[in-house]
Amino acid sequence: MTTEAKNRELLLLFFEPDEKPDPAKKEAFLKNVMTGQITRATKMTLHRMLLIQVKYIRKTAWLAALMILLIAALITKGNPDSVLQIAALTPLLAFVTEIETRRSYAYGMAELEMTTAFSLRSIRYARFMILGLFDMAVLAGISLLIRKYVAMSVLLTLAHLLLPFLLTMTGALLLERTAFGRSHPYGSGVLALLISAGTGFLLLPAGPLAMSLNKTLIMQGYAWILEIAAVLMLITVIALFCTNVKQETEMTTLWS
Amino acid sequence: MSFDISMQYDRLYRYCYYHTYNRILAQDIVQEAFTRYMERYGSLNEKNAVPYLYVIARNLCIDHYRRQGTQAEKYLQEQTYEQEQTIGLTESEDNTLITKLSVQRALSRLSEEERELLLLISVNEVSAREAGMILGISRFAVYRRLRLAQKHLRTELGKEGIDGDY
Repeated sequence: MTTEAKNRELLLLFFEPDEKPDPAKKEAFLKNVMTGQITRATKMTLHRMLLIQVKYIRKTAWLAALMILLIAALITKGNPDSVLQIAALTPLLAFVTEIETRRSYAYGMAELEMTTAFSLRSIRYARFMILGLFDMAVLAGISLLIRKYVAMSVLLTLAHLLLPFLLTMTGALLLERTAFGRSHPYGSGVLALLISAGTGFLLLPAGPLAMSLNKTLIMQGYAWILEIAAVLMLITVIALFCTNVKQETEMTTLWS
Repeated sequence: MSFDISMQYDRLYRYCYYHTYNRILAQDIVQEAFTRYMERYGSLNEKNAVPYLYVIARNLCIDHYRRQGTQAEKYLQEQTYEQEQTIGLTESEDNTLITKLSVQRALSRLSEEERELLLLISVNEVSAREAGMILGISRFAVYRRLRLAQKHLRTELGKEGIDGDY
């Protein structure tokens, strides 16, 4: 036996534990380590969370926005009234966005979502943020795309596209608060159709008065009213969404 | 070099047991150290897996001391005293037990840092570089302090009537 081994044995008299570790506990733990059940927990950043949520958003929601972009590209050439035609479609986009962000509630999945890595509230905020920003980007893209053919600034075009979109969102979010809205998730679809038809009505032969009023407003330099209205409505939608999420999360927690 | 997880588990348990003198607690700390390590690094084949595991375990033991207000020193003294009483009562001629007691007494006169170095390097066979990482000192400091600890232990063992290469 070497000197080192002898010294080690001597020291082991002192350092060797009087009690051995529980073998069953040790074996079970080591098995977990070896089979990878104890592995690296990936740090969850906001960026990563948003990327995960992107995967859970249905294709319909993305397609609806892209469809409007496609229609805008098709109908805008040489058509000065294309702004209102495209604006008439945005309520449908708002409906798809709204129904997607409340899918957990609409399909009774709220409790299940609450057991996942993220809170239900954060899931809703994330989806709303992703789809909201995507829709806004698409509408901003359309405004840039058609700026050659309409006699309006990009901001004013965007306000024209946003107003029916945000009006539908406001209505749908208000409807979400009611018992009827909660039991009929597609009720906001009816509202979207009504607003869409209302916007489209401006283009019908019966609507020249509304059209000329819109034109006069712009000609007279009061376009900022529409822009301010769009900003205010955007704030309203965000505030309504936040309070709705808060109420619904509290209700779900209470029931579960 | 592959990582012998079972052997490292036992060695880490020995280290934690020395610091806590509590079987359940020591095992919990070992498992917690492994879990935290795996969550952070994902694989035990990392170059510095051993020192990292010891650092985590050491910090967990320190946290335990802070919470409980206990020290290994206190346990050490109690244990030595209890064994002395047992030997005194039974008048056992068990040479191993007498040697054990002598080693305990000799080690109890060493500083905490000296004992820790002996445990890490001489018993648990941790390299000087790894011991330096665990204790937060340079490799040269490890060599120097280890030599001093060995010299000190040799003197103390001599006082106990044990001749060795220390």
